[in-house]
Amino acid sequence: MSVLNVTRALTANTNPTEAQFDTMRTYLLTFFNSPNLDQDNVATGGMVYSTLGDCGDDEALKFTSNHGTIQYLGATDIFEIKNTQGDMVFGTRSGSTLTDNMELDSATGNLTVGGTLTINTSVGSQAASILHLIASYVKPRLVYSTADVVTVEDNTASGAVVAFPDRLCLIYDTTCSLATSANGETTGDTGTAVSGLAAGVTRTANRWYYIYAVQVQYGTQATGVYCILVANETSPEPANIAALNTAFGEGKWVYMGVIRNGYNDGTNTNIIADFVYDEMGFVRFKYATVDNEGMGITMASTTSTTNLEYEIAIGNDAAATIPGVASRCIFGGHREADGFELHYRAIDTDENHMITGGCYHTGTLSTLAPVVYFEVPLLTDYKLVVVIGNVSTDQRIVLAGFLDHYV
Amino acid sequence: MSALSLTKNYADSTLLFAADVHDMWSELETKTNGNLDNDNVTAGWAKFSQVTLEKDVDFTLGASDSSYLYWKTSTSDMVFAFVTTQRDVLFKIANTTVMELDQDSNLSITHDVYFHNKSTQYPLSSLIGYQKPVLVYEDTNTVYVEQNTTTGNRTLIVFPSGPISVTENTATSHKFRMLKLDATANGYSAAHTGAADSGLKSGLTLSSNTWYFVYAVVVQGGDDASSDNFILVVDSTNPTPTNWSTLDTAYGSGMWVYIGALRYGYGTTLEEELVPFVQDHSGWTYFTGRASTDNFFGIRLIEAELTSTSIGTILTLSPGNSGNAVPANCSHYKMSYRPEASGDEMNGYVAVYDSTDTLMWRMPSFAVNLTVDEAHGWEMKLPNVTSLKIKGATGNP
Repeated sequence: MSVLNVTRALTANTNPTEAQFDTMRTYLLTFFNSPNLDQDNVATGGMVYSTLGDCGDDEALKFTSNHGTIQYLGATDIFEIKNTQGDMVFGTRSGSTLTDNMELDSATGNLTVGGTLTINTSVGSQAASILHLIASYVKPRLVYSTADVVTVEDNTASGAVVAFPDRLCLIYDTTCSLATSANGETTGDTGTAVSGLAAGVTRTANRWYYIYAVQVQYGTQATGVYCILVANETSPEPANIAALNTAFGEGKWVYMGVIRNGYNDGTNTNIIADFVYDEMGFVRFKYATVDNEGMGITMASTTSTTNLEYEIAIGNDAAATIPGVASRCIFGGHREADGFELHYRAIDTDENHMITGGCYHTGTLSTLAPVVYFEVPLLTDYKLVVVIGNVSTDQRIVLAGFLDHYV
Repeated sequence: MSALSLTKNYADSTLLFAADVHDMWSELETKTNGNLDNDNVTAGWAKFSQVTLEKDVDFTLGASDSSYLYWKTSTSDMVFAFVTTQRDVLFKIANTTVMELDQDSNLSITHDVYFHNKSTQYPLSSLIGYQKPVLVYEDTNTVYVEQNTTTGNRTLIVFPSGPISVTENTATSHKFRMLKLDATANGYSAAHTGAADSGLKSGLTLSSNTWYFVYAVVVQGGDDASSDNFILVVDSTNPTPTNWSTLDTAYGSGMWVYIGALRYGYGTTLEEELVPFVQDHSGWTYFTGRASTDNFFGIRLIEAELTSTSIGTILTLSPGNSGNAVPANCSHYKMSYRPEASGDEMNGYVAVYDSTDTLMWRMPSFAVNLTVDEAHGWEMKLPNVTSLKIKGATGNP
């Protein structure tokens, strides 16, 4: 503005003329009716913001440097706080010392938080500090329960919680039975959520079942905070992801591990093989169902004077297959007596050994029944061989455990 | 300002003199010029956009004078702060609080955190349980990183500077997720131009019987730097802490992630090529190839003829990047022993001693009916320490 300075042109002790008053009047009208008032007219600190009118869309409230602005962008309906020069600081000041409690760094775009960062407080089953999750979250490990049932261990004080791509979900039913159909993961499901076999999947002897945590999307517990355990014959390998997305919904499933139904020993073919998963995703089978012949799942057995061989078969379409989720396996070999060597070698040549392990001295024929194990990578075009002499004996090759690449 | 009085000294019966006008006008000028305040204007008398906030001055919000806006010239910081005591700060959308900075400086967000311009399809929560992709051997000239997302041909790597994913079908392309040993990497430096490519670090040539180290590096120069991409770079520098500054210089701080090691060459006098391998998420690498003259898998560290029944040193092992050594970034490794198919060596033995000549491990006896040279003792894991002595002798120990 303009400083108000009314030209009077008056003579002392005389009446102002009409013209003089007209001049002053016109000046005042011009002064006040044109938007001339500015900071020169306002006392410093004399006015509160509430007396000012709203800032219109696309009109910035700015600092004198014009680097810091607060603005509503009408076209995009975005509230924008912008600093074109430096950092954005949310802090506390004591005296002249400013302490940053939260800062957006202008050079990197990084957000620094003085306390903890908690996300998804309105989504999923619980609020959780992201730091806590990153530091200590462990996917609930599968636990053997009975011949029909697998469950999970609790990983929080609230129960078993699974981290999905967009939220944490509590496992509503931790009892996953191969004798029960799951409920809550398929369109049309109603009622209480139940863990079990996936829709359309039936229990078959000597097969692998891949366990998924699936968000409850239908029925009573479809509140966005629960999941169930679903057993499926489809593995989580990349080639199957599209199928799993179709079955369960993209981002709605998390792979938990694989269980085995049946030892393939001719007797115990339709029960869950007892197992233990460790914290690294390594599953080990706990029992030998044929006495003295090795822990785990039978891949091959014979009574013969010739070597027993098992060619690696990856899949889930036959009894003696190994799941593709395995990256390295513990295999066991057994001979009834007389000693042997267990070989892991390429199929194409008997001289292409990866390992000849755990030999049992054959210099003097022994009556002991040796069982030896070694750990090798799972490779197609390879085979396991129980190398013996020419005395007919029982022989067996078992899968005793493996590292699950996808847990 | 104080109320305007415009003192009236005249009356209806008197003439209006100039002095009266002067008095009134002077008061009007005095009180208008710099003294207007809250008492003189109606609410909404002017817009905020007509106001410029002075820099380096507190602009207080609320009667308690505890919160304020501030532009700090010395640091160019835009400050939203409280005096003395932190109070809750709410960020609302449609009158619903979506983010809260509380009195303990904890930030709570009702939904997730995404990384703008850093593969926004992966929010923070999806990184819980993240597993770095493993290296996959394709052929003697090619390796790639596995798909570790639920999207086809997409690999996600979390760099210190943020997560980046690339989607590339390695059947038809090898810029980002797949590297060729006969290509030179391009794009890891801001000075690079042209299309990004994965391969050997500029200036590097492969030497026989040498370890190489694969890094995922953010594309920072050239045609593919405008969007978020990474490439794979083969380097001769291993990722032990003493080399971090070197790697920072080469690739930029926070712009590289170690993926895994490669071995070029099976051992002295054997084939010079990339040794096939499989890598798992626990960090183990198994070699799945063998030299044509060997019938066991892996790298031949030493071949020796045992001639004495007295124990003698065959090899002293120390960490290293070439020859019969294991790189220092490997904490432990598996070693096997191949006896000859017949002769005294078959009944000999091999043992491992530490640097003080204390026995750590002795190879168990092996079969007497061997018809081929075969590897034994695969399950022996050795720590990769400064000095390990491998000793052997013929005959029974």
